Amino acid sequence: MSTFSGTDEELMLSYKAGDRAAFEELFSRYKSRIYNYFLRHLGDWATAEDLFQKTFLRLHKARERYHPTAAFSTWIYTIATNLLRDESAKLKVRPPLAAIAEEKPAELSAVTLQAGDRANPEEILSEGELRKRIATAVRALPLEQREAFVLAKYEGRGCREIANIVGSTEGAVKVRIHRAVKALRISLGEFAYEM
Amino acid sequence: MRCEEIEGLITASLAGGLTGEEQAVLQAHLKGCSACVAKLREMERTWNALDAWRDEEPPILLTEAVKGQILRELAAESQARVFTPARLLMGAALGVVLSAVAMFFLPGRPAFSAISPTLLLSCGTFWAGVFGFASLLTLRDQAKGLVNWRGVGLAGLLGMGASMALTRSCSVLTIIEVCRRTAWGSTVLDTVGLEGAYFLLGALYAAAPLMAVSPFLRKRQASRPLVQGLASGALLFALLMPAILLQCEPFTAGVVTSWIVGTLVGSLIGGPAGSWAASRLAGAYT
Repeated sequence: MSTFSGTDEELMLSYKAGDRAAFEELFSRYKSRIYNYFLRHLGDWATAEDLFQKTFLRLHKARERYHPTAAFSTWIYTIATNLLRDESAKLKVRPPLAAIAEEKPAELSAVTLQAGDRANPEEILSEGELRKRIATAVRALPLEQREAFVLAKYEGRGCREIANIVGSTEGAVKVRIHRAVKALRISLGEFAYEM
Repeated sequence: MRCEEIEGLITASLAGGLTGEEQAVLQAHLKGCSACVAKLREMERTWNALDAWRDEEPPILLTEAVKGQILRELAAESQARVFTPARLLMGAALGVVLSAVAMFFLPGRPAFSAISPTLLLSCGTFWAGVFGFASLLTLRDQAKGLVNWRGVGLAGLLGMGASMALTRSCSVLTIIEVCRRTAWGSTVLDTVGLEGAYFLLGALYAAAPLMAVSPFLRKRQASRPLVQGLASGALLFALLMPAILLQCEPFTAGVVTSWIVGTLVGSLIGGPAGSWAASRLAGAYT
């Protein structure tokens, strides 16, 4: 049971000084967040677990360089995002669906509307199936859009913090999130409205 | 503002990324544009539908393995910081120097020629070891934990210094002599006996120094003053033992035993009491 009530930054400074209990508390706070961050991007449990381990080991090795001028969450998500980019470069994933949504949104919208927005109007989706469709649609987004969107929607990061994490501007982050949501709205179509 | 520009603000508002000014611009536009209101509703539906993709718990085997690996590395680093070659050398050197100083300045010690070589060597070696250990504790990096080991080392060394200063200014033998010469003192001695007197004085000369140095250690307290105090008391007792043995030649076995036991009791009471007082002073007692 945790007896710590300090901020993430206070815990990180204690951990930097070698405090094991402070590390345990930080780990407890962020393990689920970091794991799900990778799982949402990759969809591959083995790779997500590998990157999860690498994130915390890298954090451990680099802890001497931490300064409280940066929020701890920005720091750990930056480490995670850099690992994710390295992994994506290895995989060279470029989803075709997102490319269509990004480059020709008007045409795709037209197709969806003409078909009555759904291939099978009678289809009823279970929650599990809807999750799968969402996962597929999100993973089909270009990496930059996916990063910004996942950090905003599922990790609860603000646009300014996301900009610091991904190394961009706040304005660019907002554009990426907007494009991501627009693409998802097209991808998910009417299915989303059954929830 | 045009509807194309407002679309971006709509999404940003869902992500909580609007400034107050942007929020005001959006609200003002929505009041007069039903198309954008419809768009907002659509985006909201999509945004909320995405909540269906819930978090998963990370596998326990994974989290325990990663946590365990890092904790082991932290423990290894902590050990390495304490026992670096430089620190070991410095601790050993300080141990020898401090034991020599204690040996020379010990009040009540008979001449070196009158002490058996075995006792001299044993006490000197033991003293060098304990002083060295106490010095090593004061040199280590301090991580937060149950006990502040640097505080323990300092309590032992400062307590030993205070005890020797107290003994030089007013030794146990002097007090016994005063008691013998005064009426009230004689009464006390008759009541407790010589062995009882040495027990009480041994306890006093251990407990009082530990209490006296506590204000200097208020920044060296951890979360368990009792445990830290017991450790400090045990260290001081180990430091005082050779001093007692080097002075005990003229005494009976009973007196020496009482003196040693009294010193032990005083150390184990004074240590926690001093740590508790230091914690109170630091405002860190919980």
